Amino acid sequence: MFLKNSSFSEQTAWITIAFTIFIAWYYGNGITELEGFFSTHADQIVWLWISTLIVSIVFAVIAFTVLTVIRKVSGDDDEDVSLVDERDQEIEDKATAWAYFTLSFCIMALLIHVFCQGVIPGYPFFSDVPPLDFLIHGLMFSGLLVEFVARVSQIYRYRMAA
Amino acid sequence: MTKKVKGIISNQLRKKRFEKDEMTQQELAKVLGVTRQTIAAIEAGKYSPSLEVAFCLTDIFATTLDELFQWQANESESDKD
Repeated sequence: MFLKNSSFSEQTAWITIAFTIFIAWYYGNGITELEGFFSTHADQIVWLWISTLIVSIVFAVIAFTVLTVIRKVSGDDDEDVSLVDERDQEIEDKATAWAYFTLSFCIMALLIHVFCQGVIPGYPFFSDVPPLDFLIHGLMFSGLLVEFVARVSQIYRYRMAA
Repeated sequence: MTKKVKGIISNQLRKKRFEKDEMTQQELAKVLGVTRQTIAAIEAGKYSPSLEVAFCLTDIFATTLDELFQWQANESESDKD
């Protein structure tokens, strides 16, 4: 059965990957529907954050409920889900290192973009988006990308020794 | 000149489990306090356990580290001082 040969930590990583893809799609969709920028339509962006938070919670509740049902059906529910052993910890540490490098890269990229937009006349990338808006949305997507990279790295290591 | 030592670790865990009343991976994992996947990874030679876990294993199977784990070194030399 699906996920039969995986630990709870790996199953959680799979859910987190699905979660980040879904939230990136939801938030990206929300951005395209905004009618203005933060300086003129701050309420719309704040509402997008709140709705993203609510959708995130609903997604997490549904995903973990489904996972619990799958574990019960497949007979894996006798395993201690709170058990995190040394291998889990080692894999988590390596994923955290990847997350750290990704976050550093994203922040550098965002700052370089804002800097270039300010000093280079005719800078071609996202020239119609104010720096504040670019930073707000950029940080949101950076967070999602960091989580995605960390979990992909985690699953890769789990699968290498599955 | 420094030596960079790499090696392959193999183990007799699977054999020892079967010798101990065909103990399952799940049962061994429960005794050790690790996940069944970790036991599977150790048996497959894809994960090297910590010394604590290795000594616990020798304790469970009443054996020695040498008997449970074997290490074959592939030594390579580099020119760095």
